[in-house]
Parts: sequence; structure tokens; C-alpha cells
Amino acid sequence: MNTAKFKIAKGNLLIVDDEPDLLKSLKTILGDCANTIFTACDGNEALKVVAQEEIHCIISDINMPAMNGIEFLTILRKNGNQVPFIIYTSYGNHDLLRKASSLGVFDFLDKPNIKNLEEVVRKGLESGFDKKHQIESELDDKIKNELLKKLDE
Amino acid sequence: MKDDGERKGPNSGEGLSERYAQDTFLTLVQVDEVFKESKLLVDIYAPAVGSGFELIYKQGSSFDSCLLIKEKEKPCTIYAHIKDRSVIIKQCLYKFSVALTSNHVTHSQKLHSLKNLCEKFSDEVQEFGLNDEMVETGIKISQFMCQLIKKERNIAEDLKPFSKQHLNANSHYFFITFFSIVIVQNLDWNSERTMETVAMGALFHNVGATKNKAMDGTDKTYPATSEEALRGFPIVPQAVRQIVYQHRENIDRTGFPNQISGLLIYPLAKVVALGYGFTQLFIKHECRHTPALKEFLNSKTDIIKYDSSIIKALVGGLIKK
Repeated sequence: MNTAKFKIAKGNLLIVDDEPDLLKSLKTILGDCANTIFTACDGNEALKVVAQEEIHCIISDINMPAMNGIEFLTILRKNGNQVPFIIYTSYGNHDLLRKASSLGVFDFLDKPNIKNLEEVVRKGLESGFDKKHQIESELDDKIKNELLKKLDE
Repeated sequence: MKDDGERKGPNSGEGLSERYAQDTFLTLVQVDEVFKESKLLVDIYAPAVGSGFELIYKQGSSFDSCLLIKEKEKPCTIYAHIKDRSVIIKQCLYKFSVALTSNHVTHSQKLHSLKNLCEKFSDEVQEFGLNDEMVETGIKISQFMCQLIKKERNIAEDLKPFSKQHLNANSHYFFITFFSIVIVQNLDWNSERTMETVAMGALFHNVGATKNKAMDGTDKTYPATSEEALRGFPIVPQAVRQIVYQHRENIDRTGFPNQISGLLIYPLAKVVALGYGFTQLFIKHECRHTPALKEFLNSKTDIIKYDSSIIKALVGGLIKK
């Protein structure tokens, strides 16, 4: 990893894909981004990992046997889990992707392109880690007044 | 006199008798947009004596033969047929690609050229819908805007030349894209990819609108129809479609189409949401960003719609450095 470009990331990453070779490659490519990387071959297995481990970001394929990525995301959200969810797929079913939209997706990446993958995962992990420690707040009055003051300068 | 949009080509043998009662089928153009190597790219119309518009020069005419255009002491408002607008857009894109790196063209002139391109692009899409050429044009405009805004550090200075007289029905396409790029540029997680994705999402935000529906500010279906319009173009990344679909969602769940909460809104859609919201105020204040920002920051109902980090990025980007 280019440490000059990326800050040291915190948090745990879960990668969900039914292609073992791809899981292995992604684990290697993203090795330096997370504290720990967990893998799962479908949504069922991924749900088990989420139940057992603290996960700060998930990168998932859509088209998988047993439980696909959208079904997995739906259950996650139903359980109140707001973890940043990155879709990494070559499966372009528009209706499924729109459903994913309404469930909340952190980013979309086209498989098998790995350009930007590291950057997006890093942001997802940071966002997931931060969300666990502080709820995103609206602009507070102090900051608002500082901004207004700057405008008058 | 024609008024149904049907038109015969310049070689139809009708001479210069072509006339229109209204400008409905015509689009205002600048002289430098319609010539290539001193030849007219399209037929040119001008207001006729009395009323209506008439064909004054045919496509292929040389610059020297276009006396009304050539004589600077008699400035002439000229028009082209809307069916030729894509040709003009292509020419404008080419000219801008040359001007972008030129030191002889001011930053302000470049911005105005891009605004003009955005307006022509949105006119064309609303009139004829999206096609491969227009999608590629939109992508190119987005990239140009990122390159230009990235170069200029004093955004406040950039905005000075704009005023009420520069506004038309489709100016907001330019300003939404402009402010969205300013925001993303001032976020600590910006990158080349995010900037271009945001710029495309902003420019394409309403590509599903038809000319009549585009005027209707109450239409809450347009994010979905615009996202659907982009589905047929694999060159448009899914992330852009996601922005288009969610750019009217607010973190306080007052947005549409799904009224989802902040955590579920795609982060780049939140950027364009503020770019969109701030553009309304900017236009309301006749292109003056400081009063627009003051009104925005003093409006409790406005600021609760957006993430604080994104608001700070907008203000930071617009404060004179």
C-alpha cells in the first residue's frame, strides 16, 4: 500500500463472493487496508460472520448461490445494521441495483476492475468505523456561526 | 410560413425562402459556434423584417459571404434550427478542448463557454432524449468542468462575472455541477474518480425530463425516470445512476423518491443534493453566492437536510482564499 496516499485504516472488512480465486485475490489486494479481512462465499455465510464479528465495511457481489447480495443486504438492514456496503459486481440487473439503492449502498464498483477498489474500501472502512463511534450530526450552531463570520471577513 | 418544425435541407432548391413564424424550432447561437474553417456548419436564421424568422445563410456558406455576420458594426442575433444543435454542440466541445489549455482565453470565458455547453446539452436532451452521442458529450463536459475548476483555486472570484442576465431555464444544470464539484473538491476523501462521478451525476440529474415536464418543479418522479433513461448506456457508471436516483433525498428523511435516512443515502448523492439545493438559493439571489450562503446557513430547515461535513466543504470552497 502506498502509505503516502492512504491513511492507516481502521476496522474489519468482510468480502462476499462465490468465486474462491477472486476472494483470495481481493484479500491480497486489500490486505493492508483493514485490520482483519473476513471472507464468505454467499449471503448465508456472510450473515454468520456479521453475527460473530464486528464488521466495519462489506464488499459484496450480487449474483451468488443460496443467498444473493441484495437478499443479504436486505436482511442486514432489517436487523438495523447500517454498515457501509460496497457492491462489486458484473451483474447488471437494474431492478436489483435500484432495490439496493433504496437499502443504502456506500459505493458501486464494476467487476473485474480493481482500479479505485482500495480507495473506496478505505473510505468505507473509515466511514463504518466512525459511524460506530459518533453519529453524523447536523451542523451545530458554533460551527455555523464561525462559517457566517468567515463570510463577513 | 412554416411553424410545424418540418424543414427542408439547405439543398432543397427553395433558395433562401425558408421562414418560421416563431422561434420554437430555432436556437440562439453565437457566431464562433457555427463556423468551421470559415465555412458555415449549419443553416442560419435571423429575425425577419416585420415578424418571424428567415433563413439568411445556408450551411457551407463561407464566412466572407455572410455579410450580416461579418460586419461587426451591425450585430445580428442569429439562430440555427434545433435539429442542427448537436452539430453546434460538437463544435463547441472541440473549441473548448482547444481553449482549455490556452493562456489567451480567460478563466471566466472558459467558464461561460462551459455554461453555454451545459445549457445546449440540456436543451438537446430535453428535446430529443438521450443517445450515445449526447451521453459521451455529457461525460466530456463533466470532465472539462472538473479540469477547469480544479485549476482555479479562487472559486469566489470565478462566480463574480455571473449575474441575473446569464440565467435561463437550463442554467441550473451548470451551477449544480459547478457547486457539486466545489463541494467534492473540498472534502478530504475526494479523488479524480469521485470528482468526475459527482460531476456526471450532477449534469445528468434530470436527463429523464421531457421539455414540458422539465418545467414542473413539483415532479417527484424525475430521479427515477432519469436513472431509467441512463440504464441503456453501459458507459455511464452505476455510481452515477445512483447519484441521479438519490440526489433529492435528504438526511432528515424529507426527500424523495424513498425518504431514506442519511446513513442510507449514497455519499456522493448527498454532495449533489447540496449542490442542487444551494443552486436554487444562488439563482434566487441572482448569482450572488455570499447572500445565498448566509440565507442557507441561517435556515434551520435547510441545514438539517445535509451532512455537516458536506456543508463545511461547500462554505470552505466558496470563501475567498
